[in-house]
Amino acid sequence: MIESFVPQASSFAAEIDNLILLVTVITMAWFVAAQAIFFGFIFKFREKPGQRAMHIDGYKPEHKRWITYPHNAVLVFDVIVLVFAVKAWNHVKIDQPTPNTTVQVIGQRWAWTFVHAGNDNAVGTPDDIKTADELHVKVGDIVRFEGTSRDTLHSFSVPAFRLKQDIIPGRVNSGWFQPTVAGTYTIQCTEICGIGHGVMAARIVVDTAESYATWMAANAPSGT
Amino acid sequence: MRIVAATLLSLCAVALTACMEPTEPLARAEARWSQCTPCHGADGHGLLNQAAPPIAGLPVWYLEGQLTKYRTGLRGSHFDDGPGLRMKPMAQTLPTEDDVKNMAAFVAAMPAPPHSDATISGYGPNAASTFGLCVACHGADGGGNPAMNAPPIAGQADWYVYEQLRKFKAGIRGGNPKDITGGQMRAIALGLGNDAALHDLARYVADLPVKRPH
Repeated sequence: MIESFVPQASSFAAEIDNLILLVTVITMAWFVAAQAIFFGFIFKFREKPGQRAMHIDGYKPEHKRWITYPHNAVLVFDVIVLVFAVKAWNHVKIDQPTPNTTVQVIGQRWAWTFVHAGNDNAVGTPDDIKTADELHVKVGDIVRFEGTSRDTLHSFSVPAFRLKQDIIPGRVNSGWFQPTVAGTYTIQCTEICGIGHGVMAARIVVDTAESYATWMAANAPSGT
Repeated sequence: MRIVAATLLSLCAVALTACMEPTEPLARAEARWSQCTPCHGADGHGLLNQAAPPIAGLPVWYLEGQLTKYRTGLRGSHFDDGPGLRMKPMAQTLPTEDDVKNMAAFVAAMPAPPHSDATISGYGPNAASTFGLCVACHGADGGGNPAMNAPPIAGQADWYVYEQLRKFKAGIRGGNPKDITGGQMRAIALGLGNDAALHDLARYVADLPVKRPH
């Protein structure tokens, strides 16, 4: 359902969408049930000829159970949501799979810059490819990112990947993703960082193996 | 019922009015100026701690040219150009070329700043001769020459002049092959000598009497 609005372009995008859908369905079901009972009781116990509107204080067990039973049921559903949420959290944030490549993601007011590993597949070496506003990755690769900030708090977000990671100044904020669909997707900042926050955007290009090799060759620093 | 309808209509009118931008060119620019003030200051005299230079009173043609370069990505797109990367998205918030023209005219009409506080202590004896390389385009008084696409540099903040010389030399500015005028300046900057020479020249230029505008 959500993918009809924003494509699912990473290995964990569907899991995040399913979690959002689960929470939405549960809360909507409870909302509809609560409103139906609420208005049903208002209608049933309204004042009418031969019956005064009742004031129910909730002390009698047969009245109180309309609160306690749903309350307990909500707790059960909370646990269900929690189980799926922790499972997703562990998969996306805690368990970092062995990466095929590493990129450095640098946030600053109000732009993103990137350092790609060159042919030696390591960042911090002379053959690194440095870009502004555009990150290139290969479809299917497990990509580890190391996010740093040149100034203030930012958040590295790729909606099509269902990825969001705060970039806190003074530390390396790492994570991973695995793009599954070739194409160009939006990178945005999702942490208010100043007057230009709303225009702090970049692109992530998910290349095929061939187009990634072509891009690497075309952008390799001279002399490497 | 009529009162409710009238209230709703009034609220809609107020909301629409709030959303509408001014139509008069300089008023449109003035409305957008608040986006520039956090970095360039309310008077356009620049803020060193934001690495944002004095821009008030610069010539319209230069401001329009640089805003256009930022807006099209010819400037402010290099990995190592932190302040430029910050300026580029702000320039891209100007929706049309007319808005670029309006903003340039608005900033050009602001009073030019006096000499900025020195951040470089003095200059060596070779600074004047080094400045000779600049004269052909920027003029003997550093007042600039629109025919050469050379802006006034006399009295510009020393830290900004130094940073731009350094960026031109390193290809951080003027390194894009499509940036013809930036490329011209880069060619000159490549012959300016070492970092100390750039510092000397920046201080020398900053000490020249302010000349604005053409």
